[in-house]
Amino acid sequence: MAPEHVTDEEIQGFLDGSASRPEAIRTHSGSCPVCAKKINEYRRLFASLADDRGFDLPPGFAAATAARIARAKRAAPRAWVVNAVLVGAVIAGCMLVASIFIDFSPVWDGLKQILAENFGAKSAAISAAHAFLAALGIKAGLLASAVATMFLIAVADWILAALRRNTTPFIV
Amino acid sequence: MSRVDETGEGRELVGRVVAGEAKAFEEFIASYQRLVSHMVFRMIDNRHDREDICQEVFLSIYEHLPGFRFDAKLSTWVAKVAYNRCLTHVQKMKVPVWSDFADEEGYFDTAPSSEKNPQECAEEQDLSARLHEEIARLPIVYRTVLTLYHMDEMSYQEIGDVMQVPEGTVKSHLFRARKLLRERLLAKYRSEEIWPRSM
Repeated sequence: MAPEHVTDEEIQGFLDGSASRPEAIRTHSGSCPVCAKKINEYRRLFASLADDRGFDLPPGFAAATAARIARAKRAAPRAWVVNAVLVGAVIAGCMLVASIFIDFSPVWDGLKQILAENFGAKSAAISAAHAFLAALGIKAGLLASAVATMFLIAVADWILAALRRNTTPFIV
Repeated sequence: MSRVDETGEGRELVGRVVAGEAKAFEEFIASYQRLVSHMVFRMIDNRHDREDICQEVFLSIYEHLPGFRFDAKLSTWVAKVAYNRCLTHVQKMKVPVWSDFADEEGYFDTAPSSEKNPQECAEEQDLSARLHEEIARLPIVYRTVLTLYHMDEMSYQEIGDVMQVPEGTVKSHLFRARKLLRERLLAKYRSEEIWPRSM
């Protein structure tokens, strides 16, 4: 009866150092040219697989990548700025919608009074502007909310565009 | 440059990167770029995408490094980030992770890096080129296991952590990959052509 050859699994385990009967494999391959050849082929294959020639990144890769990160970091806004702008945009938007249904004039009157008490001259200019808008039939609160909303949306858009340009959002 | 990995030096380097020291991350990249290039070059067939993906891997590492708590080996974690990034890319490109490309001709860029030059074309006749070519035809999962085990000398468990599969699955992939590779090489070339006696 012909001797049983060593299986591929046993050979791989033998070469990896995980075979359960390495001595038996060694003895058998000493007298079996078929298995000895196969073991040699696997041994050479394993050696070839460890060869990592051809995996070189260009020289300066590390410096270029680090520089890209530094640039992205400098350009990226800080988290609290992003959050403040987004929250501000939401509040301004809500106020804009609410001002259609709610009369905010008591709020503005209160604000004017505070400004008048603290910055007399400036509040006169604000009152004049308010009167001018009233004469044109434009609600100052509505206009202010609209302008604030547009401004905040523009800032948020600028921030998001900056983040996209830098591939990764570096919010530090 | 060798990897600093889990030594005190590794922790110190990570600390310097997290603290924002300008040169520290460059050192980190130099230390791990070999591991990342092994993964990316093996998993990504289009050579024009490879360098960009390597950069993206390091950007992702930089972003997530402050959250790394050394509960795994640093090299395993770096390989995992690279593996996931490559997987996202191949899925986006609709390259099937499990497909065997044995019958595909001319689909892959088998030159491991940069454009082929005359010297490289000549080298395609040698063992290294034949092997690269055959490995590139294996399913992506097999290529990854072969790379992590033979080039990066990771254990079954570490490879399992990187690929998020059990250790037994890693063993089975590794066995099948090497068996398939040997059979395919022998189907195309004579044993002496692939593995000269001098090896």
